[in-house]
Amino acid sequence: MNRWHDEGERIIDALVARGLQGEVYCLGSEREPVRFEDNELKMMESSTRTGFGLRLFEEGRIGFAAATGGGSADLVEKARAVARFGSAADYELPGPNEYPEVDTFDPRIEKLAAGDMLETGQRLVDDILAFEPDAQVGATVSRSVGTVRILNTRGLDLLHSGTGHGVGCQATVVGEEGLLHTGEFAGGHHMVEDVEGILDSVLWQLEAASRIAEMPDGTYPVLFAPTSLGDVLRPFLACADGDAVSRGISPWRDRMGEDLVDPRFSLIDDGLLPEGASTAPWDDEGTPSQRTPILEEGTLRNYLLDLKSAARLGRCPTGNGFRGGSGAAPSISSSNLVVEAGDTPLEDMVRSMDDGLLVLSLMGAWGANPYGGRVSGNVNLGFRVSRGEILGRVKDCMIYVDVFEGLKDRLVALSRERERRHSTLFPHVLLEGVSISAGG
Amino acid sequence: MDWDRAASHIEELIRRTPADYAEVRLEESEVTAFRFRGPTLESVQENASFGGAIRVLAGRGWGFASFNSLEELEDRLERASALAALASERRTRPVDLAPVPRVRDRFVPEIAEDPRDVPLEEKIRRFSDYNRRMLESSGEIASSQVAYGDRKARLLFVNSEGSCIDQTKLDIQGALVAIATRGSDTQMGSAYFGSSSDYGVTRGLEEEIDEAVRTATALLDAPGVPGGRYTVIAAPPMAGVFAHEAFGHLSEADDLMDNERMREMMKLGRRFGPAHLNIFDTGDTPGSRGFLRYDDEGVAAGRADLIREGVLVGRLHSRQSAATMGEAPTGSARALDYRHAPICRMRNTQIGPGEASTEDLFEGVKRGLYVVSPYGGQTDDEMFTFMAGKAYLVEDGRATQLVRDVTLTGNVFHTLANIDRIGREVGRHESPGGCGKGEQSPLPVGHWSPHIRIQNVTVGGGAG
Repeated sequence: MNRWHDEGERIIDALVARGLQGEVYCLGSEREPVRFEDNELKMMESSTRTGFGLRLFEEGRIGFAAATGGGSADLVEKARAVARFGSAADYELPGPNEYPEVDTFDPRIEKLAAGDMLETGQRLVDDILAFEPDAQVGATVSRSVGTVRILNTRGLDLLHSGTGHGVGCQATVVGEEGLLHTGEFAGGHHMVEDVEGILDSVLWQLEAASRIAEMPDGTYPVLFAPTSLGDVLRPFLACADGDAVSRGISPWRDRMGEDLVDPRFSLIDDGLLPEGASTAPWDDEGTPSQRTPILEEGTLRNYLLDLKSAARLGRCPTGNGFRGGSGAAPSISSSNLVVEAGDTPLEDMVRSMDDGLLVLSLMGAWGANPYGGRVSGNVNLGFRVSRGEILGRVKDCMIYVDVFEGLKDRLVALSRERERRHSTLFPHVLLEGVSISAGG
Repeated sequence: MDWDRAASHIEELIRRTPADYAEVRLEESEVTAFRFRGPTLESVQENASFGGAIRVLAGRGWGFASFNSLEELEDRLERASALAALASERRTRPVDLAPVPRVRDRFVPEIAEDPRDVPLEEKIRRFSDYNRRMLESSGEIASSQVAYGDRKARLLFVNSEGSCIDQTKLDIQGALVAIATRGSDTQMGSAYFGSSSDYGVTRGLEEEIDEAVRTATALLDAPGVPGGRYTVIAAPPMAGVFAHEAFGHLSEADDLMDNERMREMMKLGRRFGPAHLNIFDTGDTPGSRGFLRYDDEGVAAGRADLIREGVLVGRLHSRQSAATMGEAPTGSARALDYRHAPICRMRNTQIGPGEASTEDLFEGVKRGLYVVSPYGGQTDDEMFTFMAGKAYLVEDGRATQLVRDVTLTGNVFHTLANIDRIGREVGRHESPGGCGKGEQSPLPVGHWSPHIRIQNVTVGGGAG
């Protein structure tokens, strides 16, 4: 019987017949999301995809061509046409290797019925409305099954299937003070078991935000919840990006081995993280997945590298060559991100704050030059903490922090507890001396 | 593919479905994209894509299915119908669709110079020259990022009401970013272009490129600004992003239609700004990346006035949101591509021209900011932020010093009222990337605007 990804074999055969080097990435997937909006079921969806991405090496140059559906017939000729002008082939494709065992397939998800997902979403909507009748509640429950096959002319032939399950919900309350947005989600390769936890998180946010607190301009200690830590880490990932390093624009280009931040801070890219949504046996170029400490006890230990940047820097690839689907050429991206836990119980961290801010989410903090380390964003959901107690929700203010300096000199504590969410495992992080400008 | 045959096959197929409404979209597209990073041509690619989507309304429920192969059409129609039936059992509110004219049309936009006719070699040569110009311009330019992309798509829309539209869309966009470094400091300056009708927009960018280089190097010496409240003068590219973030998204009626409180807050007739403020959104701007003849429900994408003389007069509708709110459809239901169902989106959002000259804008500003080019923006329908790639301090009515890291924020419901001056001339700024909403990003949009001046804007900052 012909499988859709047998097409990949035919493409490789065509390359070999022409004496060319190359790689085919075949992606097939099925995804079914159920969406609720404004307290009601909005739509039920189903999508099927097949696509092929071909990276071809010819006369020292690289061409990339991609197609979906039946359009793969002239893929080789298209890639050859492009390769005439392509980038220099200054790296090699990997041959077969040893790969780690990872558990990314949950047969329960394969069999999950649309009706069951509907029930999960409806329950979240109903339970939030029971708690807060004025809320506008949305929810998305989705299941997916995907298969990736990577073949290359060096004999690599990798086939891997994974499942995905995601449950998320948002509740918005329009009040006299304006809008309140709350939300939570969970997802990964396995069935989300703790739907109750998602609900509890949203209810906690709604409860805590029912009071409003003022926050005068000034500098304060700020406790970044795991949900807002991604914005804090963005400059670190930009600087650790092997491509930015090899091009000489990363400020970390010649700082390997230096102590860059507080020794209590360790940041790890972990492609093998159990339950991580980005866990896979290999990356999208066929490099085995691994655990890569970026900052280890404050010291810069590794950059994130794909095949190309690794070759340029004379290092080994770290398994960070990823694609946003079959239509995109691989580029560097993190897999699962882990920040090591500290030793302070979260409760004690909050209690230790005389006057400060707890930030759950920021808006617009992704938008600045990441290499400078300055993170500035509107506090989308945050709470003023006074004498160790949550006073109320803070609105209409911006925070501004140089995270390089902040994590070096002004790290107060990391929480002992960590939260797992999609492809991250993060503690709470308390920095002091963060500047806050309140709105007019 | 034989489009006429596909169209009649689909018409036949959906005539037989028992659904209350059904539509099928097919999309065939070709993409050319390349990217320089530093002196290296980092990637070149050609993508060919085919896909389709089916949306079915049965009773109260919507079902949606997308696919990559036409052979799947009948199976996928069955799946969408089954999902719609399941959804209908669950929903309590009805789904109505506002009536629209039946359209049978083939539309190909007027194209001045089609990038699909330009050899790849020639495209690469042009951008390679630009890239070299940037890299050789100054010792402090350590690297560059140059991205070019064009996409031409042919779309077929067929619905069960007898509409059948065969539409061609073109999108050209890109950016040239100069990257300057000194020690551990890295700064950027950028030039960009966008069009839906003319590859010619990629010609003659030398001046913009030189300016990007000057910006990147000058930012190495630029200080930050202290956080606080400022009078902000926004140049057209920035004012356009402001209109998009601070008001455009709030006008998307699918987010309002089933939300009583938001509908109350967004009642037509509410005053949002001063009498000289006009904001509208239109698909009818040939050449703009927001140009659109028909939306993805087969509705002509004309002009929708949102704010007239400071007062809320309209919003961006799909057929469902229009029927729910008892208003007229505006041709604003757009899908990023065949993988998505249409939702309410902007096309080209514009602030209408005012009467102020450039001197008027700066007049009397003791201490303010002149924000020139955008980095990006975001909104949650109430608060918005937008980031400047280039901004100057304004002192005593004059732009004095380049400053870095300017992020502005404000409240949608208050900030429009603080626009006290609007320039005479509308800047037809086209930028790359696009707009994101939910999972659908980046959607090509335009935002044309004159200069505007806004009082009392909160700026995040730590310096000083």
